[in-house]
Amino acid sequence: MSRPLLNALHLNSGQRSGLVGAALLSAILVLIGLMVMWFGERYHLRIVYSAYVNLLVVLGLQVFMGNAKITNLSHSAFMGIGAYAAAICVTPVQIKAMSLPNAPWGLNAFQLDPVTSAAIAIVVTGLIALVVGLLIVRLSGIGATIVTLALLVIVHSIFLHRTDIFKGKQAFFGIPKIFDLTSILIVTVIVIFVARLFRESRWGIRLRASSDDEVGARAMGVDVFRLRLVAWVLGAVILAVAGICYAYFLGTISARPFYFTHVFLTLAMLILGGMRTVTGAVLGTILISFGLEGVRWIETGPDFGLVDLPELLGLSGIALGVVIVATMALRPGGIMGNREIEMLFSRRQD
Amino acid sequence: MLELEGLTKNFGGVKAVNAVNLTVKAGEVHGLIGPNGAGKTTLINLVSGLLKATSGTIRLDGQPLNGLSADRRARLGVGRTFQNLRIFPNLTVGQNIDVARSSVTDDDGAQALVEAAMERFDLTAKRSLPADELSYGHMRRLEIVRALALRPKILMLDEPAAGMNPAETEDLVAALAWIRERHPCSILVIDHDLKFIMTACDRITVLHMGAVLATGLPEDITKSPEVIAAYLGQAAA
Repeated sequence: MSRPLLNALHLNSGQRSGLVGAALLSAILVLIGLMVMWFGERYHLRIVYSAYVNLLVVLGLQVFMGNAKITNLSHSAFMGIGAYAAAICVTPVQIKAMSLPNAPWGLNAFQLDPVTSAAIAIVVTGLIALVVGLLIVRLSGIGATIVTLALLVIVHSIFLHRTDIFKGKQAFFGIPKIFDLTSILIVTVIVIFVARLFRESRWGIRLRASSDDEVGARAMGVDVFRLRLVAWVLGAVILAVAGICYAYFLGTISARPFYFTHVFLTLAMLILGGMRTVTGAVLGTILISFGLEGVRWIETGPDFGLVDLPELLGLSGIALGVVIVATMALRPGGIMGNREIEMLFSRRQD
Repeated sequence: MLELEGLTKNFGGVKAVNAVNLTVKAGEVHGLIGPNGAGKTTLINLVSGLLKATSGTIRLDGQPLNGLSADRRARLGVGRTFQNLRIFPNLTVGQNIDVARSSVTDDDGAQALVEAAMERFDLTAKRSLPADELSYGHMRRLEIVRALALRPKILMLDEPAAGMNPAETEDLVAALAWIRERHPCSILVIDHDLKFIMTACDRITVLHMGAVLATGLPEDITKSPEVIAAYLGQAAA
């Protein structure tokens, strides 16, 4: 966009560079997507699609964790809530009659179009986040984090044991597969802009002020609880979107993917890239997604001719743990620290 | 105008602030002095709402502030700085100020005041710098400009001259004069530098062991035997 147009929108310099940064990140992500679509095989498409779902999760995580600086461990649960809510609405009645014969409240007696289903899933996830958020935002630091952990366990238990609604460990199948890589590229670009503009908005700046110095922020008129709640709910909405994208692509979901392993994976992505920036969220996701593919290949024990590596099962888990430990020890702010992508180019010009 | 009536704060059995009556008149620069532990900072924390008063009332232009949260009070016109700086290190200088400015109605007047204050306190050119790259002196200035961006009715400065050399302290006196000219409000200043307090303030209150020992004009305070015994004598010795 040209400078006069940006000026006409009454954006301050932070918001202008936010738009530039979001556009740069979007360009990179769209480029990766197009490369895979043109040159990749089906198998690559699936890997990249799931990497983009994880990116949406990491972005949802960044909106709250990065701006409020409170570690959240419940994000995969909110992704699950979004996925299941959409799945229950959108799955055809004939399939639900088979898979959910004992569902309460007539959940197996209706079906909605994908857009309405997604909207309902987003609203439901947002409302649940609002209710638990009222508690979480009043706690700080470790208290809030422990509550999010409990939340993850509670939601997972419900998914597992209310088999009449969620089918637990079994597959919830029959969700229309209406999303492809193009769909998620569009969603990702929108979410990148939302996350970045939130960060540079009045709310985002005030929330970041409170994470720098809560007492100082209160003395400057910042209603810390209310802003944390805004970020918490916005984050949950993005997580719901991630869940919906996941369900609409795979057509089948179950409780297991919305638990610890996924929490840990996405947390590692955000920590490696740097949770204070949207660029960090993107970078961490790309690095770990690619890195894990490499690690998985080594896990299978490839034969190099001269050297025949043994099978190394569990290596990916170890690698993720090492990434978190190493980042925390060597660069606690993550690779990006406080820098967004556009600052790498124009740091000293203005 | 800030009015404190019977303001008391107990920490356990200790009366940190004990039945303080104090009025800072509109447009007045009021000094608050007293030995360490006299309760000066506690008093500011009570007014700004970071601490809850045990008893007593706090009124700003007639409106009771008791029971309101700190952020609410800031939006109603209570501005302050901190003795141990509380800037936002990961935000830029401009964003630090915007946080305060966006707490209150933003109009041309606010804009003009902030721009003028940034110029006066030598922060205009540093607008885009991360706040933690400022020198200590500029961080102190940033705290003052940030509090001013709230367009406060009462501005409370907690030891603004701490760590300053005589020339800087002199400039601070001029800065206070600039503030009251540019943004007429009541100002309450805590400091240990008596020369600074005597020059800058219209009236002075002396706190001792949480209670008001004396209130009056600077020249009267220096002559009060009780004050000399409790505080000034100590400083002279």
